[in-house]
Amino acid sequence: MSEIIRLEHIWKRFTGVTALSDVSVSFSSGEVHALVGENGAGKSTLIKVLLGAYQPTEGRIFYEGKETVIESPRKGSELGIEGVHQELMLVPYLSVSQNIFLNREIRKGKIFDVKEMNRRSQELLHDFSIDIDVTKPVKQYSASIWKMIDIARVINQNPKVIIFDEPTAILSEREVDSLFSSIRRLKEKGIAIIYISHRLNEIGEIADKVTVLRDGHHIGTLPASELCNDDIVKMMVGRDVSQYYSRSRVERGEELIRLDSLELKKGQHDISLSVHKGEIVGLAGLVGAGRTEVAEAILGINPILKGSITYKGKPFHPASPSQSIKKGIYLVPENRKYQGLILRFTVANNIALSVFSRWAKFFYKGKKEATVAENAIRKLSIKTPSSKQLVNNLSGGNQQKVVIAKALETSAEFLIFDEPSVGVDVGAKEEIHNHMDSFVVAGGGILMISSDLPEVVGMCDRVYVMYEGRIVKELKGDEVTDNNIAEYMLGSKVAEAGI
Amino acid sequence: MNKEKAYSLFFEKGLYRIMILVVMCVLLTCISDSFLSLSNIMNIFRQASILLILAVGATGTILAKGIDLSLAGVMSLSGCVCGYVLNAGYPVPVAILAALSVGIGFGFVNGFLVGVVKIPAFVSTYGVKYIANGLALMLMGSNIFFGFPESFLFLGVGFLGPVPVLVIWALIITAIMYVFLERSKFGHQIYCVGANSTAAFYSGISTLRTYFMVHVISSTCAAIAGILQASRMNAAQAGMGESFQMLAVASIVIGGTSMAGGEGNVIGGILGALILTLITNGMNLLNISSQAQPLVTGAVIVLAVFLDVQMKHIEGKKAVKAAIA
Repeated sequence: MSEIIRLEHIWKRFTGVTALSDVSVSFSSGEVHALVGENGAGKSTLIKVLLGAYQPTEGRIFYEGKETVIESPRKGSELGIEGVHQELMLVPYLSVSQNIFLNREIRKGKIFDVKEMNRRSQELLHDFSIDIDVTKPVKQYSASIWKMIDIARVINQNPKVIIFDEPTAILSEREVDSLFSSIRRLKEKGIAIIYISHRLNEIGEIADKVTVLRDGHHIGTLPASELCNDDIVKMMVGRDVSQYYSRSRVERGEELIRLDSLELKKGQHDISLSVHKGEIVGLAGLVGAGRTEVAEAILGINPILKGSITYKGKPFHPASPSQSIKKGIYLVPENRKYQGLILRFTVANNIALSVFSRWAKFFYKGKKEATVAENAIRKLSIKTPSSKQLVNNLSGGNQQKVVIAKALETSAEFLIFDEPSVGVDVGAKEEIHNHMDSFVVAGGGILMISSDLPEVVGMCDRVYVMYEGRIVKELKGDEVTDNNIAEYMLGSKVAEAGI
Repeated sequence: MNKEKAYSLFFEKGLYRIMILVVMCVLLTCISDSFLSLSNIMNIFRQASILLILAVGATGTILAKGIDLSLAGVMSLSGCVCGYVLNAGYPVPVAILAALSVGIGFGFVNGFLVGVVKIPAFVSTYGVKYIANGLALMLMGSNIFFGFPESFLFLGVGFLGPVPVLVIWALIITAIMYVFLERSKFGHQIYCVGANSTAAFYSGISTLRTYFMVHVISSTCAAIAGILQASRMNAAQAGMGESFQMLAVASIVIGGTSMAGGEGNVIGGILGALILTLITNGMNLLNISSQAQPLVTGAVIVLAVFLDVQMKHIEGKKAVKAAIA
């Protein structure tokens, strides 16, 4: 294994912030090198330096032994450094093969050789065991297929270094398996792979080496075989995370909300559940099982066709989020960038978003907004230079904390969390869980939707499992285990029991 | 004032537009002797007044990521209804109330189409403009109504001391809109809905009410503009508001209010309207033929928006530098 790229004493400073301080690390061909760290640790900056999107303030880069300045992403691409980005970077209306060969079209004379491009695209995707019609526009396909197409596009450029930025965040287990086998194939071909992920289990499975960053500092680089997850976590957060999930003992209080055989839309019926004060209740199920729809029905976003809701002992007919919020119900939505936050507004604007209208009959209280925001920033330890920072500039974990601050400001009694820790690093995840815990200790109730089974098992008192639009099982106490939930949500137990 | 605050005021709040205005005034003073005369300055303010009322009224629709393309139609129809009722011999307040109800009614129609039926504002308000114009034509045919009572004419051509009444109307409405959009919670809700209607909705802001609000305000201001135009001209006819439509939208956009929603302010719209009026006034003073005037106006609009984009670019670069990677 030979070294292909080496960073020496790299510093990157922005006005007021040092994103990288004295980072030296080298990457080798034929090796999967994982880069881990909390959000804001400097991973993204490091990648951008490698790809040529940022210039280091100080330090030197050696590429294939020669000192090199990667002055632009274009130069990076010419050198053979490519990235698979977190965001989906495809043109929706172009076909799969047009996307894969965008700007690198194969020509026969002066015209495009469409047949050859289609054939090659099919081949590339076949490696991921994806057989789709490559002549159809990509907008027809799901997000996980987009990701695979994007990866195929990058591989097709025959790079020497590929940077994967959280490639598996939206992939199913089967897709992750085929991604990993193709990463192994790339490795055998001698390509250097830089792999970023928050899922530590994956790192143990795929990585040869692990580099840990914290607050812009290089904490260490070690062979993956010498590290267990706990070691990595310790290095990332700089302290012991003794227990991933800690819950306080809370006496279960009176019933807060009860859904009685709700029917939402075709195929979504028999939805009955209850949440008591002092409880965190899980709603597990596969993506598409109808969990988010239940949350949105309680908020009054989706209509309820049949059935009834009782909230604090009285019949409740959700009409709109504004009414539900007034009654003390709040949803921390699944897609924080789209449903939770106004990205180009400040942290203070966002924290006050759901409450500023309550403060006065007519006037908008800018000063009150600032004070409320400062308090919330302190209480939830949101990492931001000031309350006037744009939310867009915050890391994922801190953005999620802003959404939670928004929820807490409404003095809600019943919170629904839809995937509370997606795209959030270990440290922030723990903090978010602590906030959930103290919320129920203070007498609130939580309904938590999550696809992260350890999170469901670790956090919830009871769990309802949804399968194809129905709640098929309620699990209590000792029954709440990974295995039980998985069996019901995958439907294997459902068929057996004839539910 | 520290450097950062001055910077923010100049670029982010768009105060450089005032400089454009000042530069234009200085140039016109140098070129033409009559520019700085009191009568000409009052004339400019009078000319700007109606445009100003339309522009500040419609600012909310653009802030909410929509647009109001019906305002010229509503203005014409309201002016015509006002003239029609006056000619039928009813007292002035009745005529004004009738015209205002036309405006409010069309505001609800627009709000309904955008908020409930969810037709994009660009299309729905464009259609509504034709409906309003059609109604005005049916009401008036090709007639011009004129010879309105003195008390009505006072609204548009009268003076209070040295100040034209028309200018006072414009100042009052601008002040109300400034307080409403930039100091009230309703105004802040409009900004939120424009910047991300989904997040605003999930956060408990009534997007539907917001759409109704901005359209009722815009159409009501258009109706006021129609009444004042009828009074100022001492005449009402179908199509009387037509020339104001794109000027009003251009004033808002030149003023830095973003078509992408959630960004902009009332002061910018005022400056935009003044800049556009100054151009016309300057061209008249310079005896530029009326055939050539649209060309100059068009060029200035493009130039102004280009400048704005450049300024945002500078601002954006600064923001990127400040951002944590």
